[in-house]
Amino acid sequence: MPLEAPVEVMLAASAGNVLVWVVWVVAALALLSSGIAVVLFTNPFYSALSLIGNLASLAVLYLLLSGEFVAGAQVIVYAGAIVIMFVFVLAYLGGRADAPWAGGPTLQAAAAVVAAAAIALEVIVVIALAAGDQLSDTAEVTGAFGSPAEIGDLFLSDHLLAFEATSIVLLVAAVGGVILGSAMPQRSKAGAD
Amino acid sequence: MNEFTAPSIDWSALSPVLVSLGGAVVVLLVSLFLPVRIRRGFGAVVASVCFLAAGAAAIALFAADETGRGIVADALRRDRLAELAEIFVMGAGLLTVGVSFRERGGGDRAGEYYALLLTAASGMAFFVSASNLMTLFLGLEWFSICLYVLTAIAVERLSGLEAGLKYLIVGSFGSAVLLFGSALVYGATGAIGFEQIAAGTDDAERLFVVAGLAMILVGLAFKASAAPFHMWTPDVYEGAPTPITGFMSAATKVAALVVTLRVLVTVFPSEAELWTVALAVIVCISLAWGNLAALVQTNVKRMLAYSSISHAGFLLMAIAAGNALGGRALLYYLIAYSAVSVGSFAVVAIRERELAGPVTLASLAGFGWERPFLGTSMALFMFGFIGLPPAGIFLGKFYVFSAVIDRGWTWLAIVGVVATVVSVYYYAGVIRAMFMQRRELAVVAAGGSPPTDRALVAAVAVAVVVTIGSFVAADPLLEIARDAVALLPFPEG
Repeated sequence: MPLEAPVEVMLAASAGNVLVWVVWVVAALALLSSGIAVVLFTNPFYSALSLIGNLASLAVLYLLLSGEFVAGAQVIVYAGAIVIMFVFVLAYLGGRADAPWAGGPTLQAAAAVVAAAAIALEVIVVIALAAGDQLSDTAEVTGAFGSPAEIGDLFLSDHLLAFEATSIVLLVAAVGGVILGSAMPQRSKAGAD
Repeated sequence: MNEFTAPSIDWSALSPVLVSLGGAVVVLLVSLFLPVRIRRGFGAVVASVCFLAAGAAAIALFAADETGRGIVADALRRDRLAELAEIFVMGAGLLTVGVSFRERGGGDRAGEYYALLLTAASGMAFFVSASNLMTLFLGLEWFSICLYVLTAIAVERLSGLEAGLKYLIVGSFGSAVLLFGSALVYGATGAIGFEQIAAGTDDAERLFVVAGLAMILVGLAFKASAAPFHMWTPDVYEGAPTPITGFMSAATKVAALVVTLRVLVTVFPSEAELWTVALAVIVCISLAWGNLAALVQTNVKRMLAYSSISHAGFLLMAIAAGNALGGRALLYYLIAYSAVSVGSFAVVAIRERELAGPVTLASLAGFGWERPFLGTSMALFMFGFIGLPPAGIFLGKFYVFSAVIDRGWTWLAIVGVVATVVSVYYYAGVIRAMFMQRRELAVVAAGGSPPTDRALVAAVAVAVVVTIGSFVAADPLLEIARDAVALLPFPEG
């Protein structure tokens, strides 16, 4: 910000910064607590609901990083579609699930802790490097970066074929899911053909 | 907001992909409205026509393309390497249609079966022409998902479901490794196009490039079923419907190896010293593991699965040579190998239908005398796998060994020769069982043997013709292979 900027603008900007900080802290806390809640709830429905909160607060963080499109996609695709699918599956299977640590520490739980610790360490190292200005390159973010228009432009120009191929991959996966999922119970009831 | 310009789309260059994909859509939609009893016939006819048309389109493109070009914003590369691989894939698909025609199991899902077969072939055609990391990964997933489903399509067989699940999990792991490697390479160079990456590797962080290269290589080795990334192969080959096993062993290998060749040579020329040595190690492990494990198998499909692992070793040896002779040898070898592979699984398929159970060496006893044509063909295929004339693999192995000797790796050729000698034992075991063992307790299927399956016999006959033809017409085929790899910048010149 240029030094000769009027006082009101500076005040407004710092108020904006404070607001950003507040939103950031709230979203980050919500993210952490809902993430922990996903793991700790014994009722899988509550876990799935916490996951929605988790994804929503992550979307807020994306918004703060000017990733409007990613934030929207996050809410629509993950919170809107995938978690709802989880809930359907849970409703179908019934709310049976073991509480974490129910059977004492297992190899899987130990491996999960080790993996989480490794990721935490990685994040701390990256933050430390960033704080010490040790990262080699800073990203160059232009005004249109990550905007829906920019992304749509790329989808329909440079990555047109990849975009279309993705739809085929999804179609094939859907057809496969229907084949494998639909045929079995019918068959076991009807017996051999 | 800048002005939007749509990329120009070269429809004719995309035709092999589009024809097979279009056929799949037609089969999928139309068979919904057809009575169950004609679905299989309809699917087979449409699939055959589409495979022929897509193969013809690829041949026409091969004849026309001399220089190669990027299409649709350089997402794919049209060159003779891709077109030749497409011809192989479509040929393998056509034979598979013949082999599958009378396959039982899968119930009324014949339409979906042929649709997925066509989609898998179309995905492979896309994959072999990929020219950036994104299309590479999408192509891989495209045909892999089709194969996961096809493996498990006979849902009434538990072994098929188990194989499908194993393939899905291990295959997804392989894809994830490839994706992670691609991300590292992109992170290091800031480019996803193959040529741009090659241009950018010099001033990129070498650690990331090398780690990315290693992970991409591992991901592709999973698909090529090279040891030590082969663990899914025996179970999946055994559990999948046998025609699909034949298709996987031929077409998936073609796709995976052609892409391995393209990626290593065009994306990582600066790391050639590294990947040639890494491949040599994978070759040695594949040859040792595949051959030793095949020695003790009694189930023929499992034995052929291990043989496919050892052949992945021979085929990767051609790439490890890192020279144009190796590239030529790879493509020539793939012609003969695909035919032998589809043919041998076709013979296993018909025996399986007669027995209504898995084919073991013991249950092949007397097969050669019962069905002389199929028995003799199977013997020819076994000679082919060993690498004896009159099968093209004989010359294929010869050229592969010359390529590595040219590079100065005589020891690798010696490893290959030793592996070949070991392999004689288990391939000859099949011939011995078919012609020299008497049947002890014959298990006869209720209702007698199924009627002669003309479509399958025709597919075996074509495989025999290609197997012998690739030996007889070696010169023109080698010319074609030379044209196909002419544009690749081989590190060893």
